[in-house]
Amino acid sequence: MINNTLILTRISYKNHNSRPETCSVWDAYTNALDTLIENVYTIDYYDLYFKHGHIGFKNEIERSIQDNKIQYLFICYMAEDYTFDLNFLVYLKHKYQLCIINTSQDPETFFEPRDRYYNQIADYILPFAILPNNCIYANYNLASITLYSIYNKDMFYDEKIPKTIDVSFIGNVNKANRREIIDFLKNKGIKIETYGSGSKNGFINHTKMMNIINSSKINLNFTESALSQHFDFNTNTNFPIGTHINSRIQQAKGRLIEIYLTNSFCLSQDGPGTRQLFNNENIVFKDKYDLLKKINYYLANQEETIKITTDLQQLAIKKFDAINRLKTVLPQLKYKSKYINILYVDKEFITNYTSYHFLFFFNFLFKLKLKLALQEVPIFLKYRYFNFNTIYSHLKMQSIYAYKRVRNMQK
Amino acid sequence: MMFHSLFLYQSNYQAIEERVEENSSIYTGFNYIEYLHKNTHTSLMKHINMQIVNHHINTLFILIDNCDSSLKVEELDSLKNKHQLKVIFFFMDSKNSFEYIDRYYAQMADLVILDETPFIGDFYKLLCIETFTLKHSFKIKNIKKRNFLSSSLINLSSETNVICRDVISAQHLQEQFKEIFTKLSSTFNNNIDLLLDNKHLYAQTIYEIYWNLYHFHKNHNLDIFHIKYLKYIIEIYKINKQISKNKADIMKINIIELLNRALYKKYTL
Repeated sequence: MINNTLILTRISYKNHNSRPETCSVWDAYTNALDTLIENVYTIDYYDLYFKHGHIGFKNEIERSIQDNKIQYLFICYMAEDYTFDLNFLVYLKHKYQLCIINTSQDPETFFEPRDRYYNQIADYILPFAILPNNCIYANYNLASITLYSIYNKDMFYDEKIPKTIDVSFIGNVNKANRREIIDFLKNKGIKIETYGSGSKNGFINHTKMMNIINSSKINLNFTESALSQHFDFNTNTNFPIGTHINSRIQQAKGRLIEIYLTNSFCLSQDGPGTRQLFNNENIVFKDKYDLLKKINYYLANQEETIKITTDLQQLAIKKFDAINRLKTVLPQLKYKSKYINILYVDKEFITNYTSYHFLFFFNFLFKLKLKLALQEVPIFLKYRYFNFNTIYSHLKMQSIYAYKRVRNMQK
Repeated sequence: MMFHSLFLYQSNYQAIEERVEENSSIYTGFNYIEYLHKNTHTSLMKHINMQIVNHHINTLFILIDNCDSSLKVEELDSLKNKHQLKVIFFFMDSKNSFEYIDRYYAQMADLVILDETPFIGDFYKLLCIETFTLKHSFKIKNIKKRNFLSSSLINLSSETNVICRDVISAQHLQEQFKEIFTKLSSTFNNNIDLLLDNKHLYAQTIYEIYWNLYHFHKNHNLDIFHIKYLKYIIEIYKINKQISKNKADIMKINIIELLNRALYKKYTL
């Protein structure tokens, strides 16, 4: 039985979000662990680093492990996050005989530049993703169990309201060929409403999203992998580190699960992972022509969508509610703590690691926490591989934050 | 469908060559590395183009078994589009070269044929690329990092047992190739846009510089020396000096490895 557990997680880029009201997979995961395991301690590692700096961060984590006699360490990484020093994690693992369980977001994109290096020290990996035979882990002899995108089912509810929108899409309209498909549907006379980045109606919050999903006869889901050419200034993370070819991977998106959890109908772009989620031929489309055909069919035969939706909602709750999913996964995690003889890293990883730490360096520098800023310098001197684009982006963002802080103080 | 096949290979796999030939109504093929030892890359592409035109080629087979990026992805893709070719790759060491080379070629493939190395087919499946696993009588090399183009983490992989089936009958191989050609008859040409990135660029640059240095020393000529190499001029100069000392033994110097050591730090993703 799992007990004495420490969860190191990053709730969201805004941090300090209240729990369990937030709806992300990380929060659902953390809350489910909290519910199912005794003696759980949770630390937001991102907050901790900004508060204590490199040395204080390590001391606080080690103290927590020591004081609480931690045996299981769950690390829930954000996709492009390089906060952790790999050597420090190995030191903790060996000293306290920790069983390390990693999760990560979007391994389709970030396994290559980041995850695989952190994963080599994990005893188990629980990907929020569906991959054939979990090949990316099996290739390196790493034990993994598919976690899927998991949610708190109470946050995705059936409003039982009239369906007033024919077709809707919530998400980034500018990604891949989504706009082309949406325009194609519009030209063919389909009444489609779009929400999210680049859309006519713009961003919406969770409550509004629930309302739109519930009001739609047909919701749409597209499956391209996360990849952008740009640094993400909201999350201080560098998307371009991903390898472009990996955007060919058809990612099984969580949106499909969210929609069926609310007891609403969704048509999703096809892909191997997507099929594995619900294994239902009727809810996937191959291309824009197939999509148009299916939309017209389901708009004319809505009783069929209700039948499909009722079945799939039950399946979604059983399979993708975080507590239900972890009830089946946790018993498979038998305590073990493998010894790491050699730590493998490549220059690519080191470059990304050192460059990411300029985020903290500039932040501390502009807050005049010089002691904490200086703690970052040995990292730069030790590894000496840098991605100047990333460094420039951190400098730019932290300068803007510093300017805003000064302006607020003046006000 | 009548197959007019051109087979380009990096090293000789006679059994495979024979199977391709017997399933094609017109067949021609050659070792493109041997060709490159005597000719420039530009003339190789002209030669391939000529073969395609002269023999009315509609199917191009390419076999890469030891991590090679000498053929340029964009040029092959433009040949494919120009002549409406079906392109089939045999990758016999994809575990080592998937990350930097094979997957970029594979994008244009109508079919990728792999050996029995565990899991490797799943990597292609993830990219929605169709594969065929060839159960053959050749040895699968032990999986250990063998060259710079794979991540150091490959050391964590299990060693694959050497498969040494005494007799996988010629008939069995024939049956598999029949299946391959039947599959090819029913597939439409794959015409997707290429997605290339720094990893591809890195491998390609190394091989471009390699062939230029090789021809400079061996045949005293240069292919197109691209302006982009100027930023590596110091590294190239140093390697060139090293090669000059051992000119007689140029084949024994691992120029690729030298280039990697010199250039890796210049690339970031």
